[in-house]
Amino acid sequence: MKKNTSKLLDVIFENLIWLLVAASLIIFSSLSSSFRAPNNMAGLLYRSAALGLLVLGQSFTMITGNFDLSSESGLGLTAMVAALALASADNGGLGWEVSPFVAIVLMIGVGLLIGLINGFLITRLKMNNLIVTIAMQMILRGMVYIISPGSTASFFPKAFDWLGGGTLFKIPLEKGFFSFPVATLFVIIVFIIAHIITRYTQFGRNMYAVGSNLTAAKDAGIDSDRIVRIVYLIDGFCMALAGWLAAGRIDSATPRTGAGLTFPVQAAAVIGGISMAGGRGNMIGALGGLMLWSILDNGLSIIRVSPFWIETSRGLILLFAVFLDAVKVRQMHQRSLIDILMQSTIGLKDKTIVKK
Amino acid sequence: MNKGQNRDWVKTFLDNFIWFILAILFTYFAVNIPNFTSKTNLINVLLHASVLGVLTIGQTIVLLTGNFDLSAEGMVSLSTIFAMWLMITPGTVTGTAQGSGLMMDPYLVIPIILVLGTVVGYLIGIMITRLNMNGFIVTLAAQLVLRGVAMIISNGQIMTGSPKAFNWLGGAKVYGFPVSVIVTLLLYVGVNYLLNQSKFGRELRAVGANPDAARASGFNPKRTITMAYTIGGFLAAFAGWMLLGRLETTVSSLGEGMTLETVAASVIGGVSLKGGIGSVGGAFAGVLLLSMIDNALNLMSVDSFWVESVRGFIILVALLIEAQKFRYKPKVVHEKEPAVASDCK
Repeated sequence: MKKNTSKLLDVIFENLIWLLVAASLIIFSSLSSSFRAPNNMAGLLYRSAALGLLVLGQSFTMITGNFDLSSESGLGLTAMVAALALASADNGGLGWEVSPFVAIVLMIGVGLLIGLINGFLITRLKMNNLIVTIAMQMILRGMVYIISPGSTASFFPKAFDWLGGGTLFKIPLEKGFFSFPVATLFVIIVFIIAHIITRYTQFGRNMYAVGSNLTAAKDAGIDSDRIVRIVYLIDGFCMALAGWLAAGRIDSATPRTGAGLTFPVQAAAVIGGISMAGGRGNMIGALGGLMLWSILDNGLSIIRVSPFWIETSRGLILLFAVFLDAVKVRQMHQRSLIDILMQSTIGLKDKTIVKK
Repeated sequence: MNKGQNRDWVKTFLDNFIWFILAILFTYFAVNIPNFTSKTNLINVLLHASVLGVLTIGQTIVLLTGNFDLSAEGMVSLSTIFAMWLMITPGTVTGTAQGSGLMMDPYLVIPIILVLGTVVGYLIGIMITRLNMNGFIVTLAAQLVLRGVAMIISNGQIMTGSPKAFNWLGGAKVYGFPVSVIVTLLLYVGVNYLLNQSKFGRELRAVGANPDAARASGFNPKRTITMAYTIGGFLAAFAGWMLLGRLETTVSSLGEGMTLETVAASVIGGVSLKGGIGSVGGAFAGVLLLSMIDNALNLMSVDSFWVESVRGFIILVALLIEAQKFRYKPKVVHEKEPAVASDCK
């Protein structure tokens, strides 16, 4: 009987994020008619698509127990590289005006290179991942300024903008159109693919193993350094995709593109249930975290909350999320301790001893 | 035997590596930059180092326990804004920031903000140790909340005109030497002595090096970590007082990016991010190094686009050295083990 209730609690805890998403959707919809407009709803993920890709990369690294704080600058750099190659000289580019596909290959190459460097520094030179990526964030942002002498590059070919700013289909409404952005669908698909990779492949299981108990993973014969390197490569790839989405959506890239995203990225992943300690959380949860973040962002500004309060409330939400994470960890710890004692030869049936 | 001595020498060199770098860079700058060694410029370097230095003491203490404190810069912003809010007149011109109208005496305001910092630091410590919340994210969120509250109080406006009595710490000079620099130096000497000689200092290192072992040997890691954050909060408010005294003006974005600099300074100064290793004295060398480089880049009028990249590279290099030192250290211990065993016989 007791076990059933704790299982129910488990299910609620695991899916708490979706309850929060649903609750906030209902609250904001009832508060504001412009929030519940279909265009606004479909645009929620469209506006935070670039953020979503960064959250995805961050989730990969966090599951293995690492951090990546460099992704916001990685986004900026890849976007700027593509923008400089694509835009004509009049519009702030280098005047190469390469074909969009070359630009995409170029930016993905840059993204992978960033991931490769991060992974190399962290696994081969054993440098602290947190500070390495902070330093990389500064270096990459500096490089964005250096390659684009402080100016904006804009007006790209349509094919390049399609992913970030294109429309998949339109349905005529009474007033105007309901348009469904490509980016929304893209983000959902990418998250599902990531979920499949982490859940159903050997690589995914190894990732969780490395994140939850590094020593045990090593003893079990997993090449943890290799896993971490691959994870940072994936992360770099995600940065490049995020850069593509960000540049495509606003049809331009500035030296500040992506600046300040580190915090929302961390927050969305943690709120989505990806544990800071590594080894826990799933990609669908992270998608929930992303949605909650963009709903709050959009909803609070639509109902005209002062931006100062939005900033403060974000911090409080994050604190709440970390608190939930801590509660979850403590509960799991206790339960596993009870299980171990129950199964041990001592035959300890009295659960009260364990609960301090 | 000879080899052992050699190792000892290498170890001493590695431990004081930062001072060598500092000396070499100083000579380089002094030779290559004309105005670098002028008195005003050196005092400028020290002035920049003072506020950063006070924050770095707090950061180092927290790092020694194996934790991070990213909230200090938020506290700097909030303490200055709150102090101003208590002291200045309610604005009459629209668009300027409003004071509370309390017009408090500076001598009352100073203890208030110091207590505020201490309490906030204590609360953060409690959240991390008692509620088992992740320290990194808690302090990150705290930074956001503190800055957010500062924004709400100041309405996003600049607040200016702090009274003279308040500015004494940050702005006054004794025999042509800034008070803030003297106070910072005294703080460093005091805290360094405290950490090396007192029980608390040993506790900090023990907890950082191995919490389980520390608990087993009778320390209370939770209390120590809470204490470290409390001290960090107090010092952040203190740094706020100092900075406001120097600038006489504040805005809610004050101190942005300082957290990174404090972590960088500590790490460059040999404080390990894994906890337990490092000293406040080393961290001070890190602070001096960063301030000196900032100043030199300014004097050489380096393109501002490059400055951020250069800073990032410096942090990377420091980390690289730290990581190699960490690899090297266990070997030294290993080498010495047989000697201890033979002594026992």
